[in-house]
Amino acid sequence: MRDDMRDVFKDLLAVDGVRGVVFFTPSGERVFEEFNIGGSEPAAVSDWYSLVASLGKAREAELVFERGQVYVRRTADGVLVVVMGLIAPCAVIRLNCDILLPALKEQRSTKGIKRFFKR
Amino acid sequence: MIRTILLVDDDREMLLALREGFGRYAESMRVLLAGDGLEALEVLKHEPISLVVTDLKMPRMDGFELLAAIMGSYPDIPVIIITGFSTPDMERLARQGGAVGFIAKPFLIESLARQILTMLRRETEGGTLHNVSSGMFLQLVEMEQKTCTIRLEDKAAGKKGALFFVEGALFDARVGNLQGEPAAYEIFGWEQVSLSIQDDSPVRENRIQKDLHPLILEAARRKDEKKTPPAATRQHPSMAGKEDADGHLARVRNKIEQSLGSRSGVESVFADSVWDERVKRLSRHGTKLNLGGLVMGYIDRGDPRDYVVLSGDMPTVIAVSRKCPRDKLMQILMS
Repeated sequence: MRDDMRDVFKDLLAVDGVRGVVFFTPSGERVFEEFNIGGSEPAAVSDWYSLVASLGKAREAELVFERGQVYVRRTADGVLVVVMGLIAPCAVIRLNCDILLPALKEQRSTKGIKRFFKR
Repeated sequence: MIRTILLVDDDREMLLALREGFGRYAESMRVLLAGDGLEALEVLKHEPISLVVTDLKMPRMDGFELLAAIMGSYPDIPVIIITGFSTPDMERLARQGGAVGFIAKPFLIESLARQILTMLRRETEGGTLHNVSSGMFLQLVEMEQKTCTIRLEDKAAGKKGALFFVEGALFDARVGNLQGEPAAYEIFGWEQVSLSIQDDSPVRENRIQKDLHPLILEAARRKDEKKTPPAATRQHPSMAGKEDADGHLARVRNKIEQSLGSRSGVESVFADSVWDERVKRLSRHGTKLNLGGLVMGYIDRGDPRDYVVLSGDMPTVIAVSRKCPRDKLMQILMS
């Protein structure tokens, strides 16, 4: 499962300036988390969850902080958080997310008994 | 006191193994990772690092270049070299460059950890003091004509810095990547600090030409100035008067319209206490996540319009239509 998820996120993680990706369920359970080497250690999922919660009902947000940027995308399956440096191209990140989110939905829907059947 | 160690190596497996191995020393040290010299310098700009362990052969910026950069800008941070290509010449070069340790791969994690802990203990060999006023103590150092490195921590602000004395004269100072007089002013502005003394100074070049006493007085003056900023920038719109707030909002709108004209998609520019609170919360989370305070945000709530929020003395909200050129608008506001 983790390798499959990594495959979904690999292009996003390879974009210049991307520090890491966290994906968690609407209730805050971690589904996937990977940080590129460099910078500080990954934070707890609960910290990302709190950040997203403070955005209220936002379905998408691009936040510029003093030392980095965060792109948040809410979907029916959960919340995707992309952590970036200050010069990362956010438009490219958004585009990557548009492409990978359908694949992610497919991954998530093959959980449980469905995964035993070929499509 | 937990110190922060930066491990630098392009071998990801090696880094992860070291971090795991150092897990048993979690009470003494926190570990950060970087994949090459350039990444390490980026980390050094933002994190109070106590010691660096670096490989020599790395892409973009190798260990020798990193060592030279650290000796130039962060002379109080000891560097230990680990390498798979160890030769006596290489070790001599590394030591001449300022490295305090040289370890050939493969090595036992415990032996590296021991060396790190020994180096960290040296930081406090001359003693440690908590909750003192730095000014008085430093004048004693001057009187005693001591040669030492004094590391200071302002716990209230979460900042760390170092002062380098040679025979009682303040030669240099460092806070983050700030050096010399500006760093000294910053440190002397801290009220209650914890400090530790190391009985030598790696700095021999005098970057500070003023005596200690005038430096301390000037730092106090600058601090007072900061505490009483001009009235126009000090107050929140709710207190500063409607004119100030209206003027600020008009300036933001003009800035956008001058660049984007009628294509800006801006519907309204306003101040709002609910958004103010949201900006504060986001800033708090950003700080906790090591990203710093919020500067700006673009928020899509699924409404017919999106919102851009600007942080600062007067948090501002800009409601924009969906046809707004989002990236261009963000770029203009950032500038």
